[in-house]
Amino acid sequence: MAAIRRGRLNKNDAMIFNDVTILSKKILVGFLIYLIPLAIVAGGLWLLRVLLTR
Amino acid sequence: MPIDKTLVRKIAKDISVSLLLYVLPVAVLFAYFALKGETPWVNNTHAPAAVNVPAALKFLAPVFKNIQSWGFIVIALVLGAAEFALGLYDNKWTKSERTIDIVCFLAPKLLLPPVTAYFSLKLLPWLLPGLANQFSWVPFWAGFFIIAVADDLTQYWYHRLHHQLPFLWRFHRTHHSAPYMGMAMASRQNFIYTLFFSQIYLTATLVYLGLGFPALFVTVIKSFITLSAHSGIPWDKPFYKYRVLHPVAWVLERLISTPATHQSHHADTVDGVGNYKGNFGNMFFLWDVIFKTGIITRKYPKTFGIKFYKQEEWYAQFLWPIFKSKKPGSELAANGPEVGDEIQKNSI
Repeated sequence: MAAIRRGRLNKNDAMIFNDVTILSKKILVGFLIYLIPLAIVAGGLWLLRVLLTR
Repeated sequence: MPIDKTLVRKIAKDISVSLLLYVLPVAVLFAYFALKGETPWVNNTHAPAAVNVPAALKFLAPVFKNIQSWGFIVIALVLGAAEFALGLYDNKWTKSERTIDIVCFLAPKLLLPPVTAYFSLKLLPWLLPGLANQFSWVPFWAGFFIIAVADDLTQYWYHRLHHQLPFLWRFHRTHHSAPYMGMAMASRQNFIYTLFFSQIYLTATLVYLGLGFPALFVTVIKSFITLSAHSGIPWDKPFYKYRVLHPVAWVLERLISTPATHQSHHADTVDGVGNYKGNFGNMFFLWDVIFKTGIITRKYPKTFGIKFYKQEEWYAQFLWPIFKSKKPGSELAANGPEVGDEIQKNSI
């Protein structure tokens, strides 16, 4: 707000709902790209141990 | 901006293939233990995975740790100085570009470690209690293979989707806005792009699960390759020039990113040498070969950057969408157009 008062930023420069949506979608894509390989690798190593222990 | 349906189908198909690629190292390890009849997890004490590795690797570990902590900063500075001495930046490193490059080089080194440390030391033990070093029985060679594929294929997808999904492009645009190649722009990224790098957290989780020792070696080798691929010095040229080295070149350019293939990705044209809509590989170029997203020409583009560049302010390039550009018509301005990584038609 101080920056807006000093004229360095105007209200149009602030984050709007659309930006928050884009950011949320970006984080979701990143989270999926993290979670899918993790599930495959960690799940695969767990399964390997279970199958070979039997 | 709508996404082409053919592209969506191609992405879906390539993701299916990727799932198999992630499984591959684990399947090889399964076959290895099944054939040898070994079960190293029985009576495993969950000790760190550095216990059963060759002495040479243990000797190298502190060297790699130092390279990882401060070595790359020195290497980047020395290589950068060499690039300047060779005049590779011409007069393109203007005050505005300099500011962006320096902020992007320094700020993540200060801001990112607390985030990753919190994730590794606090969040993971809380989310996965009792699972620390759970997979420390994985042999070094297999851990290396697992991390190399998991880390780099994940980064390939993170990178590729930031090009192919228009709503993600502006987070990656800063890396492509530099009109030159070299150490100066190697770390140039929007901070939000860097902060949510999926492969950082994936590798950190695998380290927590017991693959820390192989991860150290993979991350250092990967950093060497990605840094050298961004270099303005075409170190790969002799491999294409001398006939005796051609077989090595053939393997090298398909396996890892080189200045020729990565400079092509940073070109501002799609003209047979430039291929900014492909060549997404970071450490391994192999992913581009498998998914047919790469071109290998053994040539270097003449110009780099993006055609929609408006020399946006450093704060907008570093922290969009938190800060916006004041440049009229800029993609990074408030209500700026979402053009994706398209180039203006008159530039083709």
